Amino acid sequence: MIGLLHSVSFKAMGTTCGLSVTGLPGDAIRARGALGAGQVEVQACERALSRFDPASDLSRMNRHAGEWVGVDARLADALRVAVLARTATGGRFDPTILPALLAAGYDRTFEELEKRPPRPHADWRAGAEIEIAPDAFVRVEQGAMVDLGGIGKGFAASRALLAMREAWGALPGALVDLGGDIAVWGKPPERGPWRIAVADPGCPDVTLGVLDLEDAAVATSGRSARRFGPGRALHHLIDPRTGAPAVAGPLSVTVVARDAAWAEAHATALAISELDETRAHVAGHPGLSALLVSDDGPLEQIGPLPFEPARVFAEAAR
Amino acid sequence: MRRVWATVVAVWATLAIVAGLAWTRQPPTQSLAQPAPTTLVVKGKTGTQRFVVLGSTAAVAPHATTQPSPPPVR
Repeated sequence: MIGLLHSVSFKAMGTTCGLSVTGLPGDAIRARGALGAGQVEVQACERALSRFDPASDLSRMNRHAGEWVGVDARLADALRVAVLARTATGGRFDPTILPALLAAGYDRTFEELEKRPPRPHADWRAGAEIEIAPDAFVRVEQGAMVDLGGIGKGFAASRALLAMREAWGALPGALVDLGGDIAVWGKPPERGPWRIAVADPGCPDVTLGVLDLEDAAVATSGRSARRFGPGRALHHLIDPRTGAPAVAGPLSVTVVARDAAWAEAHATALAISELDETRAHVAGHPGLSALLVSDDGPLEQIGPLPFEPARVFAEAAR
Repeated sequence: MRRVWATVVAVWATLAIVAGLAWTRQPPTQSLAQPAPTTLVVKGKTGTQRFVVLGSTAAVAPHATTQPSPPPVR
């Protein structure tokens, strides 16, 4: 141990956010400055990207679909990444999924969804056009709506990490964790890599293993979270290719990439992909690697994943 | 009398330096304690139970955990 980990935790973007920086004993003031800059950036991203806030730039853009709208540069940048990710994933990640998401049941609470099956979107068409002009003017195709739920937290994590580095030029290391979408840079206090545990999707208190990361990002998506519909057979992931809740995909998929928004978008896409599709996708994108947890069967590591599985120390039958 | 005042000033200066050092060298805000092994109860298809003890493979506890985000709510 050669340093200290200074941390702050707060609620934003519908989740618990944790920011940490590595510092020496006399770095308390600089650490506070960097953590404050990161927190401000996360909150600014939430104001720009949230679809649950009617005053957000995203909500305003959706209300004025078909028109050019001046927005915060963060939204314009997030839309650029989202459009690139849509192309890179062959449409399995699509930021214009919101009409299908609402038709599936996101216009009501999960308790209400227990009682009625989700309805498919009558005229669903994926790949609505998003235009991004200089000076942060954006336009979404008339009749379309954007949801950045599959990329927003990753985008905010990357932006927060950048803000922390700018606030403290000699920052030795930093970690941003927005509800499991994580970006790291530099070194932790004990040197070596940052160690990121991968939670068991069936039992979040259990760790499947640890990823060793340096200047990288990780995100996890999957259908292990809350389910709804008759018999709780459906989950919250919508397949843009059909407009209906996805049927394919592993229990959870963890993606490592250089950028957190990129990791989150690809995790969203691979969470609704067949295993063969996932293998081909990761092979075609050298910067990606993935860990898949299926309903039954062993963990599947795809690509050069810095993953160290947890060891079973003892096992006893009763 | 001048010596007395010099002594008083020296004592106060020492106290101020000690307090300043104590404030700037606060303990870490997050401990990196060793993780305790986790016991997992696994139920088999026939109803039998297995107790699996999981433990970290390294001396350093993870800094964070990645997991699927909960679905958004209104």
